[in-house]
Amino acid sequence: MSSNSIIPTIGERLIELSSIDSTNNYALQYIKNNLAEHGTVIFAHEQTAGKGQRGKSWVTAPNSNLTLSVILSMRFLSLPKQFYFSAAMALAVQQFFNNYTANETVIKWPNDIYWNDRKAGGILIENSISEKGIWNWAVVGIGLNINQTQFPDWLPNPVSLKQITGKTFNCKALAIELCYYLQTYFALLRTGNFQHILALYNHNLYKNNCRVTLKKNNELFETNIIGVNEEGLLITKRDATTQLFSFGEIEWVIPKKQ
Amino acid sequence: MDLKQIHELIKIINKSNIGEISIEDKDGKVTIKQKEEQVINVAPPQQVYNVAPPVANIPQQAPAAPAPATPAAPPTPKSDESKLLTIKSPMIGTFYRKSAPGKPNFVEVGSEVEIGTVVCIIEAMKLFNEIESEVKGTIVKVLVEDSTPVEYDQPLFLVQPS
Repeated sequence: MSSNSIIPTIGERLIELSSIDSTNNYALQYIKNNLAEHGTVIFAHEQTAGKGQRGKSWVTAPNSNLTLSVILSMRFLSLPKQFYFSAAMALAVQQFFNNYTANETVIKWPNDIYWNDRKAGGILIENSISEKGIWNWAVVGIGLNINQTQFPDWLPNPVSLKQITGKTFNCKALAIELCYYLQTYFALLRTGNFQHILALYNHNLYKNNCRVTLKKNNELFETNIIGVNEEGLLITKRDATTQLFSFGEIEWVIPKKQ
Repeated sequence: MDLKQIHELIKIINKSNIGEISIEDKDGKVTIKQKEEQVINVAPPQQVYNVAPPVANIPQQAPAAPAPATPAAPPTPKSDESKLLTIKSPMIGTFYRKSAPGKPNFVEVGSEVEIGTVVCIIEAMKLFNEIESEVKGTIVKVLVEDSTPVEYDQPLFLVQPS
């Protein structure tokens, strides 16, 4: 696209792998070997040990899902603004997926991709940070269920693009299209218009302004989601009391599909 | 892509279980294949961990500044507290000593660290931040428990500089 611009476009350099344990690990290794370049995308047709957060696995069969990691140079952004970055990346993936799903795709806090009450994908962000607090690199790992129609039983509520649309997709073509969205939202982040990003995020937030059931310390309670604040905390309101929650503090109880 | 990059790439692939890789950029396309016998060492599918959410119910008292009376860890008897360097947390979050449950700790007491060595992960809002040391030396003390909250600037490790 813009090969003569100073900052490479996301996906301009695309590393295509037939099979890999985890695209995020591969990208992190690239950074450790000083080979990282901003915008480099690692795309795998098959992921044998994909990473969810803290060791949860995310395994994909060949060509059934979209798995890629993008390496981004983050020195322009300070650490307290990390959530805006996470929000921008979630928006990119959600908007891309929503293109195919008639406005039914939303972001489940903090960055899962949901279609109605079902999970279509997730994002795992791993950063390289110096002890002095300089954010050198981000690796954004994206996994989206595309052509898969059978899922393991332990997944509570998965859904794929094929189940939604009835069509089969070319994952690499989708990956290239997704890069365009990532580029757009990364550029928006670079403009520094953080309030706009947060407003868009809240506009596309799963169950925003709805009553939900949350679980904290093994206790269930009902509350209303009011939105997410600039630090990424979930804002809830029960009766007249506003309460903020950080990720990991609560569990979200989602009705299992029939 | 230049020769140096291709060379580095071959090194990475040799160490990995990647069978074949193709890289395409504006200058052209490079394909590297590994010999079959090098590929068979595929890691078994990763075990699934049911990770409990990192909730810490115990209010974390900030670890007291290194008590001057406590001698540093045994491997470095010559260590003089006043010369020790402190690796501090650059952010608020949850401190993890390993990349995932079941994996080894990034560093232990006695580990040598270089500038750029990953010493821990601090997670905040599902962003996983690998923290790199900016000092060179030997870890003599780990000041924070695994999977507990840390504050900005909280001391995490004591390092005997080398």
